[in-house]
Amino acid sequence: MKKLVLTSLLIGLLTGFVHAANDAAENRLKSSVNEVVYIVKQAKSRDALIADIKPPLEKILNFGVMTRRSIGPAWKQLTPAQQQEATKLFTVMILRTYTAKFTPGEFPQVDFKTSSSTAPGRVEVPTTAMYKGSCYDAVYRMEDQNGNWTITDVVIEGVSLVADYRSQFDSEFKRGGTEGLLSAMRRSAAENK
Amino acid sequence: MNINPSHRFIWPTLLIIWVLALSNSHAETTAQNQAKPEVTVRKSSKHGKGITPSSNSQEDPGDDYANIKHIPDPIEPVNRGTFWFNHQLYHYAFKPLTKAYKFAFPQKVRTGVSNVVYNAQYPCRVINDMLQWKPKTAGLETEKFLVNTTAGVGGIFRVSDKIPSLSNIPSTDTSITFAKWGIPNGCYVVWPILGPYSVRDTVGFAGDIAMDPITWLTLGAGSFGTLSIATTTPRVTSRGTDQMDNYDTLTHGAVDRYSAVRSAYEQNHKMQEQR
Repeated sequence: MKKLVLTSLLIGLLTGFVHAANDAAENRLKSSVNEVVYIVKQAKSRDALIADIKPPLEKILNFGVMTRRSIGPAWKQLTPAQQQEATKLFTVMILRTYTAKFTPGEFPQVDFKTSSSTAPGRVEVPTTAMYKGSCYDAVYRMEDQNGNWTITDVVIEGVSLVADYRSQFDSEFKRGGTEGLLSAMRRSAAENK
Repeated sequence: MNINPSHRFIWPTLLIIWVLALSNSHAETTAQNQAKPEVTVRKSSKHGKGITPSSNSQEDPGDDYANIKHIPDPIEPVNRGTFWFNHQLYHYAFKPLTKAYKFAFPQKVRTGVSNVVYNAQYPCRVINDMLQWKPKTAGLETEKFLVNTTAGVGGIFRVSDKIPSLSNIPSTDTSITFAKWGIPNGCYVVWPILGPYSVRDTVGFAGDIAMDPITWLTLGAGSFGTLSIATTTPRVTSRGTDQMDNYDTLTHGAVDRYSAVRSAYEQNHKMQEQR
C-alpha cells in the first residue's frame, strides 16, 4: 500500500514537472508571438518593421544552438573566431528570411495547440498560422537553457529549418571545406541585406 | 497531331519502371554503404572532401533535429542541371505569370478557384483512402465533398472548415498510398517544369493525374482548345501560386538552392506519409 502511494506521488510529481515545463515554454512563446504580431500590426513601413522586430526575435531564437546544429560535424573544425562569424552570418540569414514574410499592417492569426515534451528540457509547441489567405502548420521546438526557454528549431509544414540548412551546409562543406562553407555563408548574408 | 491517349503514357511508363528498378538496386547499395562506420575526424580543414558529416547526437541530443534520411541522388549532376533550367523558367516565366494572376484576381477569387479544384479532386483522395484501407476517412471525405458541393456552391466555399469533424481530414494521394504499401522511394529526380520527385512519387503523380476528373475533362475537350485551356488553367494556377510562394521562401538567400529544395521535399513528403 505504502509502495503504491509513493509510486502515485512520484508519477504525480513528474507529471506536474512536465506540465510546468510545457506551460513555461508555451507561455514564453505566446508572449513573443504576441509581441511580434503587435509590432507587425503597428509598423508604418517595411524598414521600421525590420528594425523593431529584430530585438524580440533575437531574444527568443537561440542562434548559437541553431548555427551549431545547422553546421553539424563541420562545426568542430571551425576555430572559435570562425564559429563566432558563422553564428553572426547565420543570424543575419535567419532574420532576413523571417522578416521577409511580413508586410506592415498585415498580421498573422496564430492558434496554439497542445504542446508536448519530447525529452527533459525539450518541448514542442504546434501552431497553425493563417496569413495572407494561406494556412501553415508550424511547430516550435523549444529548449530550456538554464531556466530560459528559447526556440532552437522551427518546423513549417514538416520542413525543419535546422535540417534544411544542414543539407545546404553539408553540401558546401563537402565542396569547399570550412573556408568554402564560410564564404558561401558570407555571400548569402550579403544578398538582399 | 492526334495521339491516342492510351498510347501516350506507354513510353514514359516503361522508362519510369526501368529507372525504378535501377534506382532500387542503387538505393540498396547506398544503404549498405551508409551502414559502414562514418569517418568524422579529419587532418586538414582546408577541404571537406575527406569527411562524411554524420550525427553529433552523442554530444548534443538536440542534434537529431538536423539529421534526416536522404533519398538517394545518384544522378545529382543531371538533376542540378535540370534544377538550374527550372529556376530560370521560374524566374523569367512562372514568377511574372503568378504576379499577373495575383494582380488580376483578388485573394477571394483565387481562394475560390483553389477550393473548386481541390473539391473536384475528391475521387483521387477517396480512392487512395480506400487503397490505404481507411474507410472511415473515405466516408468523412465523401461527407466533406457533398457539403462543399451543395452548401459551398460547387466547392467555391469550404463550408466543411466550420464543421469540426470535417475540418482536419488528412489529405492523401497515390504517392502516399505507395509509401504505405512499403514501396521504396527509388532515387531523387528533378523533372523539367514539374520539379522534384522521387521515382515512386513520379509514378504516384501520374496516378493522381489519371484519377483527376479535370484531366478527363481536358482530354474530352481536346478538340475544343478554349475549353481545354479553361479546365487546365485553374489547376495549374491554383497549385502554382502556392508552390511559387513556397519556392520563394525556401530559395530566398539560400546557401545552396538545390540542397534546400531537395531537403524540403524530403521532409515535407515524410510528414505527409506519417499523417
